Amino acid sequence: MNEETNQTIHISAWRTILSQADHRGKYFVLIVGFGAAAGLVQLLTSLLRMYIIDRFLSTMQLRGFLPIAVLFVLIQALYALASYGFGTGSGLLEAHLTADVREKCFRKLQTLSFSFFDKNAVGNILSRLTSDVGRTMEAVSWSLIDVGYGVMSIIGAIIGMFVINRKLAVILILVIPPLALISMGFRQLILKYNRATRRLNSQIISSFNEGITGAVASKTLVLEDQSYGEFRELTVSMRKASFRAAEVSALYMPVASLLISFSTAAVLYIGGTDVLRGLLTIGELNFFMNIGTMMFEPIRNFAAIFAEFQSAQAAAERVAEVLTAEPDVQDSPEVLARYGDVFHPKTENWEPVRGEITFEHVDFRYGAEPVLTDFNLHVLPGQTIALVGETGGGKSTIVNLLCRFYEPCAGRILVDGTDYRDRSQIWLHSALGYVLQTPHLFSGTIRDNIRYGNLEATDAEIRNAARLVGADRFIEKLEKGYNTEVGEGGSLLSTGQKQLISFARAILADPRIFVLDEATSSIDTETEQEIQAAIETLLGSRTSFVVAHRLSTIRNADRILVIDGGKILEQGNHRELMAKKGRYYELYMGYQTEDQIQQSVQVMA
Amino acid sequence: MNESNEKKQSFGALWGYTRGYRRYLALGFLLLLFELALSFISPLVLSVTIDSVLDTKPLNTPWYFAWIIQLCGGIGYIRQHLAIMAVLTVIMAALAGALSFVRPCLTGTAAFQISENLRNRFYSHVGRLPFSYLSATPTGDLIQRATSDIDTMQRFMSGVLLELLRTVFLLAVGFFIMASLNLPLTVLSFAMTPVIVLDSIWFIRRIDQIVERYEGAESKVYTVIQENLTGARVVRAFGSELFEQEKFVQHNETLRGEHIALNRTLVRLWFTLDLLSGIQIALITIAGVLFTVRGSITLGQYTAFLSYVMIFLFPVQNLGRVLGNVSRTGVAAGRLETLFREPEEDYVEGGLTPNLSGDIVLDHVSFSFGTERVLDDLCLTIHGGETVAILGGTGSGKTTLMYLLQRLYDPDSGTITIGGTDIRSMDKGHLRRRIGLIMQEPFLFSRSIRDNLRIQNRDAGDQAVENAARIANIHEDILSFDQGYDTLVGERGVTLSGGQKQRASIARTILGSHDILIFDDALSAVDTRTDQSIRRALRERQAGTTTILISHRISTLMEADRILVLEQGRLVEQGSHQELMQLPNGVYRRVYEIQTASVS
Repeated sequence: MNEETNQTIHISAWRTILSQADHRGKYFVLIVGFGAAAGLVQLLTSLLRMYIIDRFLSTMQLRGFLPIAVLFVLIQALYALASYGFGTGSGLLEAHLTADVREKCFRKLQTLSFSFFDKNAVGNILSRLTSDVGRTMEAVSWSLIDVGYGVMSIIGAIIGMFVINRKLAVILILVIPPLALISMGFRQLILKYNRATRRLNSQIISSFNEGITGAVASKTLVLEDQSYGEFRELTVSMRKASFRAAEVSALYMPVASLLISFSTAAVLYIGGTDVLRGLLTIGELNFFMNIGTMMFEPIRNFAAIFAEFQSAQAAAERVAEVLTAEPDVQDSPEVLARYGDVFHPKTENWEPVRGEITFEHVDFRYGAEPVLTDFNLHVLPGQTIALVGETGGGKSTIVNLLCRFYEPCAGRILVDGTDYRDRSQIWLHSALGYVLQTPHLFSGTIRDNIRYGNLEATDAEIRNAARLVGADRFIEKLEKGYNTEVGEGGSLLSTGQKQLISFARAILADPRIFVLDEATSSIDTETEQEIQAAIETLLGSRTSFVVAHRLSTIRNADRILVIDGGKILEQGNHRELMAKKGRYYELYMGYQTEDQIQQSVQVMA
Repeated sequence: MNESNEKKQSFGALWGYTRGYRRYLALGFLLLLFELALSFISPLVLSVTIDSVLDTKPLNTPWYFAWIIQLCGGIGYIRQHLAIMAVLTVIMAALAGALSFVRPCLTGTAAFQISENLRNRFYSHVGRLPFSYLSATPTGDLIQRATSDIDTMQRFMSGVLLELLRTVFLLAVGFFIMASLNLPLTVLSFAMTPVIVLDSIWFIRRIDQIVERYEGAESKVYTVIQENLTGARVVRAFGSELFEQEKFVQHNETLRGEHIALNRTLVRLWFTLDLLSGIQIALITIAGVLFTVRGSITLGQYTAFLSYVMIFLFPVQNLGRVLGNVSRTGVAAGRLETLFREPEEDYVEGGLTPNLSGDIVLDHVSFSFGTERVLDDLCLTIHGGETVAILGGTGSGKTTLMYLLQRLYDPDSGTITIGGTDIRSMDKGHLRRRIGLIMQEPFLFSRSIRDNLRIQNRDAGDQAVENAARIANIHEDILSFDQGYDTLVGERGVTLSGGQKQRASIARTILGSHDILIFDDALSAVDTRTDQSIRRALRERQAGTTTILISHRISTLMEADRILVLEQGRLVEQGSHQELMQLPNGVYRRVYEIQTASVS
């Protein structure tokens, strides 16, 4: 884990993150200012008490006490006001920084290439935008208070002490360095043990997860006792680690207090002697007796802040990584100037897309592994191309390159005779319709999801799109029809229903280029035959790429490419390839029976 | 059950968890009392020094401190040796330090042990709950309890409980010691305490509500991010980055607003606490002066009172938060207790452990889910060593039948015997171990592939593991992973495809030893050719094992000695492939015809 190895604070990650929010600078000043004011007020309280003791109590008379009493009350109120000031400042700063940086990250993610998503799982990126951003911004925002407060109260106390009594001041200042050292040392130890317990805790949580989701499997495999045994090893380590962490924490305060008590004892002895000699007042003695504990608080806070930043370091780096990531696929400055970016498209300059696609000597590698080598393909506008073959043969890569989710390592891809790198990504994507094997829906209503294909579509157009793919029948049977919520990720609908909606969405987009990526595999045979007709009318006038698992869906393609090992093994239409009795024939016969199995089960049910 | 009763019950449960560690806790609390007493006695050192060492007033201090002074040689002696007071300061700090180190170690021993027991009990209990309970309970629910409820309990045991007691003791001890100096001033010192506590309780309630709203907004933002990430391809392909950005900003702004509201309320709480504490400090500072000048207390005692207020103000400020946590703990404990009361499955430990290679006989077996009858007076016999295939549509009861054999469910009526022994008299662990059940969607555990394969037979050597993987046709797949057999499966490692999982679970089963093997549509994600080769290899290896194949594939069904056709919980056809093909309107024959139609 990253967190383990990080012992030092690298400022660069923090700088990257904070530079995203430099317009919040005024809060920084405010917080530190109010923090310093609070520190000053706290010191004033001590000084005023000293004055009260010497002026009124040593002489046992109350003349002139009223204004001092009022002043004392005012100072307490001032402290509360200062605390309101820095609290409000930090609260606002935290909320703004978190929201700002999260927004910047999200924006960046919209432009990053798929290679980034290939390398980082969704859960990983999600936690960068959520807990990691929260953690770093919390550390930054609230520690500012302690910085202002701590610096001011230590400096103020030192000055105050020297003014009052140099000898005692030196005694108290002598204790600061060892106190700081001890605090840093203990914080480091505490940090280390806390990391251990946190790591164990996350292991325990995943163990619980597995114990619960796999409870039935454990039962049929009779693993209850074995799993429980393994779990107990974890909880025993957890107990030991927690105990060790508690032990270290419990040791810190006594050691520090003992150290402070040495200086207090010295103050009592030396100061007491001075009082007897008339060189020091009782009020001053009381002031010095309490100031050690008062100075300890900021020192303890500094050590805690340091540890806090250390433990947030890994989180900061993960956030900074998103902010500084560079997309692999980028539009050149000239292209951006002419066509605009995803957030500011200059549609007025866009050439219409006809849908002629050419792959010219295209090479593509994932890392070192070659996937496509010298791949050539020419597709006329309106043609339907089917891609079949084993998983890993390169079908998806061809589609990804076509969509410019990746770019060729060598060779070029032309759209309407122009290298697509001379156009913007959003230009191509706006002309693209795309349906995935596992349909992806967004939370919201069915209407929202279909409208996703074309945000300006009217309700009538949406209904029409649904009708074209035969989704209208199930939608209209629903109590709320098009206003039915689909749930998170569409979880309230069946896979088949989700797929139909994603079809309607694609049709509504009215694209020039259509990509169906194994799109029909989750629809039952009967429904598939129904949408088949709709798909065909749609494909008729558009350039289409169909990656198919069930070969029955592509019999009518203009050209079928059998892809294997990054090369075209066979090509031709269904009839030609069947007559050839080659790989396509073999695949077709195998898949055919699988289709039939599905059909026969429906007969039975 | 009414709420107060439920609360009483959950705190009763909490008390129950402390069994075995009450000695540690009691001793810890005793030390805590001493520790707190000491923290109130320490300021008396300065107090007495000011009054009777640096000044010449007679010793005026409570009996316990007078006793300490006596121990140090009496006030007259100390007047000559100021250093004694300095040494006393260090001794007091050392003593308090020692106590405040030993005390958490004692209570920690108990608290961490209690947490460990609680976690263990939860884990073991969930594993031993009956199948019927587990399949009816959403996993999210259980996971929620395992994480947040147990976490709440852990925090209560190791932190909240102590803070609460500490504050209560602190106020009690403080009041006692301060009152022994001067009662009216003591009452004034505590004047603001109830106000502070009420203020914080009031705010904590409001904050809890705001937190709920905040978390609602937060989860919406998370959903938008998550959906944007999982649907990255859709977003790009539709060119809807701008739309997504706008959608995100809208939710992010709501969250920003809630975050600001939450922080603002927190700050208001702190502000009121600081203000009330300020009033308390001012009150005692000013009133103290009047008391001193009037001669009710000495100057030294005045300084002691100033220190005392600072000792208990902070814990008092925290009391509202602590009480909020206590009530949350009550809820968590109640939920856990409800789960713990769920009866565990009876494993018939010490039951019969016969060989299971005999005939399996179902005698008038019926089974219902609620009102829905799944198996209806079913009678059938599967001979030992036979390979039987079962064909049936969704809801025909075939999977339930398999669960009955493993006793995941028990029939409502009728009996099941294997080799003449009623399975209800058998040790369940034995029964399940001897029956290998291979599911359509098998569960793999998050550990290395090797450990997954030998999970039922931990002594299996690498050679045996590899052989099993070869038979199950998964060996090549495993080698293609970065770390081969050491590759981790699941969350932190590779995700296997459905077919790979099925084949891995077959290899896992091969490594166990079974009298009966059940394939519940276990090769559905594997292509027909591989399916056949796996089953051939299995048959050679496991000759004599009773095998039950549940499948839709005619090519699979055909190879069985006998085929049973189930429909709505009844046996409608049985016989060999040839025999069933003779039935003119038979289900099997119809399925056969559809599946082979286009191939021939």
